[in-house]
Amino acid sequence: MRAQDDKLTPWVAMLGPPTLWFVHFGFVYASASLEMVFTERATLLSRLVIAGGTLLFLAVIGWLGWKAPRFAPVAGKVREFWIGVTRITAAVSAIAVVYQAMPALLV
Amino acid sequence: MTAEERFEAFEKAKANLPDRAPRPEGELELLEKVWAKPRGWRVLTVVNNDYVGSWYVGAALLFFVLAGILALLIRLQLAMPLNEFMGQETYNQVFTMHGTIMMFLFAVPAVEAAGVLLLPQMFAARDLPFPRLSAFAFWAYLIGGLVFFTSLFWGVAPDGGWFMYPPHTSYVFSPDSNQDWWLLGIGFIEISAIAGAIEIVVGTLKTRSPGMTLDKLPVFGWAMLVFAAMIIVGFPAVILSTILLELERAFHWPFFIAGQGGDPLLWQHLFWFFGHPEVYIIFLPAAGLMSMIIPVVARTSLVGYRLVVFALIATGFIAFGVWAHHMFATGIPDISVSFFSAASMAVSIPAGVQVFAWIGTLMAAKKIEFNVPALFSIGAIVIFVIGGLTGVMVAMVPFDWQAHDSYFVVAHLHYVLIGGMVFPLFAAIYYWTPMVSVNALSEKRGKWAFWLMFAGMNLTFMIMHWTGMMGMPRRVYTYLPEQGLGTVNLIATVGAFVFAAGIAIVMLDLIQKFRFGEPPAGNVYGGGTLEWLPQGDYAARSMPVVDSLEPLWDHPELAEESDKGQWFLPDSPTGRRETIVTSPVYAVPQYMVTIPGPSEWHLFAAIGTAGFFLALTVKLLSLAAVFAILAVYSVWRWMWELEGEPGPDIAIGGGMKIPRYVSGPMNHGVWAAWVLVTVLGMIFACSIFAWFFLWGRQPGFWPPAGLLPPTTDGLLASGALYLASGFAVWRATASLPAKGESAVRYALWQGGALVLLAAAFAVELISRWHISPSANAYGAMVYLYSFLNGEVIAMLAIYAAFNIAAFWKGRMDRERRVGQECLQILWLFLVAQALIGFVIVGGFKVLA
Repeated sequence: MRAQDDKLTPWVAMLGPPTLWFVHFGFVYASASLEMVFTERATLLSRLVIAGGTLLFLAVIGWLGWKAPRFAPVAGKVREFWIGVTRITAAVSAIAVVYQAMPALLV
Repeated sequence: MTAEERFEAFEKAKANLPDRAPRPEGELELLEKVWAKPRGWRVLTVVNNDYVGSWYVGAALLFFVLAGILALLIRLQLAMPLNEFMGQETYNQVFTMHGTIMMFLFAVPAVEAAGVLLLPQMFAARDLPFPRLSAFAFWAYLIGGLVFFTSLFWGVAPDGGWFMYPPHTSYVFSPDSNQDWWLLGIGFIEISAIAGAIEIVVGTLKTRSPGMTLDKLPVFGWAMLVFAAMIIVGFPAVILSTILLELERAFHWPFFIAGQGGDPLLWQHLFWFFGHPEVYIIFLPAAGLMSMIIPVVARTSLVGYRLVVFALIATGFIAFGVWAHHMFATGIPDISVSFFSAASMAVSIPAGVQVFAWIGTLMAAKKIEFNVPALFSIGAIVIFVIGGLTGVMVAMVPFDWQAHDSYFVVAHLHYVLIGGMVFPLFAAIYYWTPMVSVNALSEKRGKWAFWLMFAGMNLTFMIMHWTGMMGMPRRVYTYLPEQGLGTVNLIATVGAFVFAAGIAIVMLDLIQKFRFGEPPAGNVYGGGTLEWLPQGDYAARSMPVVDSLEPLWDHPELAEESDKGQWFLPDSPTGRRETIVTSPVYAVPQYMVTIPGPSEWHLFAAIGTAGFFLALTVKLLSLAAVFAILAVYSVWRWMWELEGEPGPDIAIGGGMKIPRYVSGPMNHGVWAAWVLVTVLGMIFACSIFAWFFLWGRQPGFWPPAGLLPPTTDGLLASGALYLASGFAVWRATASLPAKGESAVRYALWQGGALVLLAAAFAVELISRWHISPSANAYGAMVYLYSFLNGEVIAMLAIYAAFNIAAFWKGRMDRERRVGQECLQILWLFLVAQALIGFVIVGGFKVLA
């Protein structure tokens, strides 16, 4: 029952959404920068890549938030705590991912 | 024993505790003897966390005062237009040293010190798992920091500003040794920060009181966990950037020289990838301290514990996505700055959650007791919120372009750092001094100090928003009378002295009142967490099981029960220093770890390390070699005494028995090796960023026309040798013989692995021998990969030699194998690093 105490799964699930938030940041920055190496400006191509990638990131973050109970430690108050923190983090990460992709549409 | 069986045994043991039977005679005396601190001059060899932590805080405060005096000198110079109090050269050195010392020698060490001092007590652990590492970090920092400071008196102090931008700081424009002293000072703090982070991560996850599940971890524990993780991810960027700058200054490898394919913006990216998270590295532990103090002054639990934990985690991540907001004015493309602007505004959300949790807690109070910790905490909230709001302003690109490099930014950063770190630290000094000192600090003087500091701080820095908006640039040693800024600058100078008067009162009070001794003044503010259990040299007598965030409020009897030895580990079963290692989430006891006691070796190691870097800075190579030998020998002796010994299981109370030695993934040393691998991996990842960044700036230059990349044959041969050495070390670990069995196979595999590694590195160098590292940035980057491999190889060679010696002397065998397991982890990391480096270097060749 407690074998999860020695596993990485609960940590990956809890830290997954903010990690994806950060990785998404690197993704949008790198996508635009990489195109600018070749074309000197970010054209529709990198913006479409950013839009598509953002949807993918949102899907994974949403899935991690939804499935939080599946990966959380299995018993005790710490389970409830874990699910709670994972879901709050997932919700904020999702909003932040949309927010930080907006410049690709607006700028 | 499986995890299931351990858990069941733990549940049974909990049901049997507290054990009210009288404790055996002589038990407490043995415990006291085992944990006693040496006296006389040997007090320098102490490793107990209360002493080392207090010294560490004291040293940080010393540097705070020194850098504060420099701030007063700056303000005197700026008190009136065209002042001639000090010249331009001296001013540059003084403001550089002020910023560098405050950031690197005060703020980071101070919060790390708070962790060393408070965490074991909050967990009711006897100590953190690597006390000599903490003590080494402290001594290296103190010795290095003091020598660094003396560079001011010789007129060779760094003068390039605390962020040291090249090309100004490179050898072309700064040929003297001034900037080398900066690199030296930073080197020490890099070493001690990484050492501290390893200690804190492993300590927080592995040495909590049994049953302290993560939902009952004090917020300060969460804050320090995120803090340490941020050091592990963030510091490697500054470690790499300082390596690059020193390589450029010493050997002219042109990483930052545009004419040779380098780019000064590379420094800015790397420095700020560390430098902005650094602000949160400082702020989060201080926020953790506030989250411990505010519930006590409000006499109620913290509002929104889960939200605060979320805020800490979220800040830890997004802090790494905002670095380029320091570079808005460098001309990077609009869309890129927009991403950073968005991320910078987003980071205010978790910071806001923290602040609202504190305000909510204060609002939930029936009555707030306005003692000194309360005043400093509330003052911190006010100041930090002002700094946060101006932070959102400068996160907006158009506004930043107006305010950049002006006093507006100086005002903003001082509001954030003083509100986010200095005031919380002073609240903490008042709150926790009674934990280690026989006297509490004076409430009356403390209130005077608070009001002087609060008024002085606002008087000094509020005005700077205005002087900045009026166009006064930072880092310039004077201004003209016609600018009309004389009066306001004079007021700011008066404010600085008022602020300093407040600090002087606290320092005098500390000097007069702070005394180690038994018993300490104790829980004068009525805190509810475990650090307020009765303490001896051994920390708490026994480790209680907690079922809430403020166990002493909910179960006041715990203090007496713990002190009478009625909970876990009331004794010293092996007659050595030890604590219980627990599982990371549920804190179920796993095994007993033997903790090293007082020693001179970590002290000599610190002297050797400091001496080595100092001698290099002044280019005394023979002396550097002597210090290097001293450092390596001392670390060798220090490690020699570390390994615990296998033996029969140990009773820890309630009928539960745990092993006294485990190897494999549960072991705390193996965890530390993984943390170190993460640090090395991040340094390598930053070097990959540097490669692609420099390529992206001049794609046609990579490699420059006429220069051939490293040879494919060489890369393939070297890669094969690295892989073979990894295989050999894996076989060596697998063939460790049982005690008394033949050692031939182990010795052959381990020795073979070393030979293969040396051959791999030699072939790697041959593959790039036709390239000069100083001719262009491409060559410098190619050799940088070899430099990083070479560093790890040197470390592994010493470690492998140590293991062979330990094996020879019967200190290592199939059962006592943690040393070899750690070596294998580091070795396999090196193989991966070398191979990825080859793929990148060779891959570009294919593309070309």
